[in-house]
Amino acid sequence: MKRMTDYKVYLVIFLLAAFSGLMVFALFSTQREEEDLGQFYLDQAFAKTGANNVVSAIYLHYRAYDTLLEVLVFSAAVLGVSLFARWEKDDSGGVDRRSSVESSVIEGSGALLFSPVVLLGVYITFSAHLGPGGGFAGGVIGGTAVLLVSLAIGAREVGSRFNEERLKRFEYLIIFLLLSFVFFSLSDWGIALLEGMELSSLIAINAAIGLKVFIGTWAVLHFFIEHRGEV
Amino acid sequence: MVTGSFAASIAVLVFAIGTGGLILKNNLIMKLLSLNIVNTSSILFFIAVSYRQGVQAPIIGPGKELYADPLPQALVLTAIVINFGVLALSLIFAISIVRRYHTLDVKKIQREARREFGSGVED
Repeated sequence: MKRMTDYKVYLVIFLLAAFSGLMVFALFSTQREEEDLGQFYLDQAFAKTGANNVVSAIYLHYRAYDTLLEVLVFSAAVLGVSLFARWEKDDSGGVDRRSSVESSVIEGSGALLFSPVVLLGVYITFSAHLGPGGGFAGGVIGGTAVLLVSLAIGAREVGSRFNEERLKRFEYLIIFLLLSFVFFSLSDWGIALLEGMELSSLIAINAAIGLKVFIGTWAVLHFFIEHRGEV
Repeated sequence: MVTGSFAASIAVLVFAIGTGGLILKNNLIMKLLSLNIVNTSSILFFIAVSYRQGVQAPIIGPGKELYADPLPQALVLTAIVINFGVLALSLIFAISIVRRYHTLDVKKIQREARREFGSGVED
């Protein structure tokens, strides 16, 4: 057993040295000045979409199908976690069986910080065309606000205030609306129809993604908080 | 001043550290954390590559002229979300394994699994 461990260490060191050397060599040896796709996006994005943030214009307008399948990947991860939560229903509810509060610091800060953090998430979701941000970042920020409240007053209490079935149906409705809207707005007659409203469709896609990521992040975090501390 | 190549080399170094941790650590949660570090370092590598002669973030504003390359930054958004998905689902598997074997040590889990399923368990 010990000899196999030695062989593994040497193999790892050799592989890492070779791979790192290869990557650094590739980094310093490929320079192409003729075609610059980034400059094309920097020149054209504001005139075409009205968004100051070029990265947002790229992943919400020029390459919106990418983002669409991205949201589907996220939904698959959230679906996996929620299915596992339904299948492995042991009676071990973890630490949250206690009715007492964890600590008064967390409880106080949860009460104080919930609304500002959700507001920050909404702001970052909607201001993606003017600065850094977007649906993904804003949704995760909103999810961490619910995480703080779950740690403060207990995950079961927070879970009992939401109707799970309605939340799931709402989530799938958002995905359906997002899919149909992106396919519509990037088709030929969709582009002609939404001629002057590209910025509005950008913000609408951002809002839908933000809502979807908010619900999904809260579902994942809620499961992990409810079953924490069990080995 | 931190240039693009310097940051990219640091990203490669962090990738190497993460891969080393992924293979050499025996704790299951440490392996998952190392995988997360590997993903994050590859995202950092893409953002470091997008540094051109410009010094500003690619947000068009008045009075600025040179911007960084926006295209790799838009492409690694996918990588960030995939990182989250992989971490969430692998933690689910870790919970399943720990509920069954009551340990986080990978060697002990392999021994128990070999005892339970016969010698078909690979190393």
